[in-house]
Amino acid sequence: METRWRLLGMAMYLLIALALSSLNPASTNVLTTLWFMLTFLAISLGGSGVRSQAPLGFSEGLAGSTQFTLSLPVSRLRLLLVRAVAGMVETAAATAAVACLTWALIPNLRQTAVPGDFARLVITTILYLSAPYCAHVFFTTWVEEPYSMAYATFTLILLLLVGHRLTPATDIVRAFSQASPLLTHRLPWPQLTASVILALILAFAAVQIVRRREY
Amino acid sequence: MTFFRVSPSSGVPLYLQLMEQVKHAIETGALRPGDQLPTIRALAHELVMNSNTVVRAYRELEHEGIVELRHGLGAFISSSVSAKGKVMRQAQTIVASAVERLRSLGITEPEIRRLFESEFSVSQPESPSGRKQ
Amino acid sequence: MNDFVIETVGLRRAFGGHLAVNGLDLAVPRGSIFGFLGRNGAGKTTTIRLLLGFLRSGSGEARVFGEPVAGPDGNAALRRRIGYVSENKYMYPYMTVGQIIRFTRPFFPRWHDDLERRYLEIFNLPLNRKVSALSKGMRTCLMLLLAMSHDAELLILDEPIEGLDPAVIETLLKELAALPAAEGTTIFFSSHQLAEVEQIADRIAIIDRGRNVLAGALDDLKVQYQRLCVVFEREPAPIAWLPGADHVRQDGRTVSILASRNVEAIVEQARSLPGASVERYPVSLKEIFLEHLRSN
Repeated sequence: METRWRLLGMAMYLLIALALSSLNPASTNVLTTLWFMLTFLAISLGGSGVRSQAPLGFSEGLAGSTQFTLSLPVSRLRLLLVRAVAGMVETAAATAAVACLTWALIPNLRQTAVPGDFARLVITTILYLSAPYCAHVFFTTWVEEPYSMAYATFTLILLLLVGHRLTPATDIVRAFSQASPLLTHRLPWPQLTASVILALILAFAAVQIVRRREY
Repeated sequence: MTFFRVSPSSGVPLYLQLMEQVKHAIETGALRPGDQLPTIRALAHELVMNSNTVVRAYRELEHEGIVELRHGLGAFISSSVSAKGKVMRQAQTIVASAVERLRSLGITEPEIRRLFESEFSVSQPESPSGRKQ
Repeated sequence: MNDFVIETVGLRRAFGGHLAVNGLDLAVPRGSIFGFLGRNGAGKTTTIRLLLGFLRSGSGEARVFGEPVAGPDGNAALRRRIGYVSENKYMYPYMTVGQIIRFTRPFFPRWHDDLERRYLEIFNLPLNRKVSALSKGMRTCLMLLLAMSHDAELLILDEPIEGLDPAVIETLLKELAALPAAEGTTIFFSSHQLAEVEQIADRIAIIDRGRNVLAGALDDLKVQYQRLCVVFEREPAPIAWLPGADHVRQDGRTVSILASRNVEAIVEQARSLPGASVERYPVSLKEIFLEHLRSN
């Protein structure tokens, strides 16, 4: 599957970054780097997750295998959902794998953080990543592939900024800074809820578009 | 087994072509009364034709009394055909001598064809196909 | 009472100011092999997309299996009864032939493993080759396999013959020709290859600029259409031919007529003219097709 190569590429990149960062004892730098990369990974998978397995994306149209997919006796809703869920699972798995690697390779982290907190951080990350993932899924339904990634990244940044300005509850970035489980020893529920709600809204919009679109 | 051939692009409906082939096979003696025709499925497969076309040809042949469709058994050349076979051979002789005589008058082949053509315009044939060259 | 598997009445659909389908009437009887003919861009693929619900229909009626076509994201159950080959013949490039079959199979409860094996063999499809490595002809064969292995009541094939070599075409036509009699399948296919259409279709419709210009049973049309060649002893004065004499050309003392109907009367008219002799020739589908496009 296409996604395997993307995952592998990402994994290599992350490993290199990890290796480089481990030279720097400050663990927070590593985590920040990782955060950015995982976000990027999620966005990337949001595209390929839908594209490689069930091209309902815009770029396919008449030129791609969309007509084959659409002729199958399943509703478009189901097609999109199944692929989106599969991609999200891949994102979660990738995140968990990266987390394990990070834990293993960065002694500083093991010394300064409690395992339970780190686990909570991982969960937070996964739930947060649903938002960039769904952002890209949304854009693939009506924009071509390379551009959809740009739009998704841009929109995500915008939403994060808006969230930051509105209230602490919606400030998702906060979940990794002041409200980080590493510090609070708890899951940052308000921010997690905000992430998931955002993801669901984007997913819902994607479904509505796909159901009504013409191919 | 007789070897039928049809030509899809000739403009002549395929079922008519098939009927002509069967009739021709009877005339030349390749098929005799009581002989069984290929099954619809086998013939359609052999000639790469729509089965419906074969069905139509067989039905028309039955309607003309040339073929009997025995339920469950297949299509058979009907026994009443033999009389026609003899008559056809006689007719062939008549036509051959007429053509010979016309030729000896210096009339060319296309002219002879047209003469026969115009002869039939007077007495309209009942078959829907009309005459074909 | 013939029931129609596909029926459209006055189907209309515009694309940005251009009427791709402009008042199309179609009636495809159950168990027929129906050839859908037309120039490039005449609206064949658009019609098929409308029937399958890829597009919303504009106005007019469209029914498949007697049910109105629901438009985007409707009728999943209907599609279970249909086998489809798309115009571009694309499937998932990273899957192998075997994987695509395994992927498609569960969607169709009436899948026949024996048919699958048979088509694999007669179309010569290598199980382990990726779809991206298949030629267009082989992709077509693969799509045909997927369409024909699940006991579909209706096959909708968009240009299934394009890109196939003659041997494969022969194989395919044999399979298609046998289906209506054996399984009661209706086959609706569009094609440019008139010779193949003539071989197996029992009904045709010609579409031009989004509307049908001719439809009917192929055998009836071949009887109805005849070419007349009238030779005069002296060059004749202009003649007002009876209706049905559609395409009349004159070259000196010879007049060539393509008659679309009323043939016997026109022949009589020709014979009654002084110094005229008439020859009649059958007309191929290609001539009928070109004639209708010319006059449209």
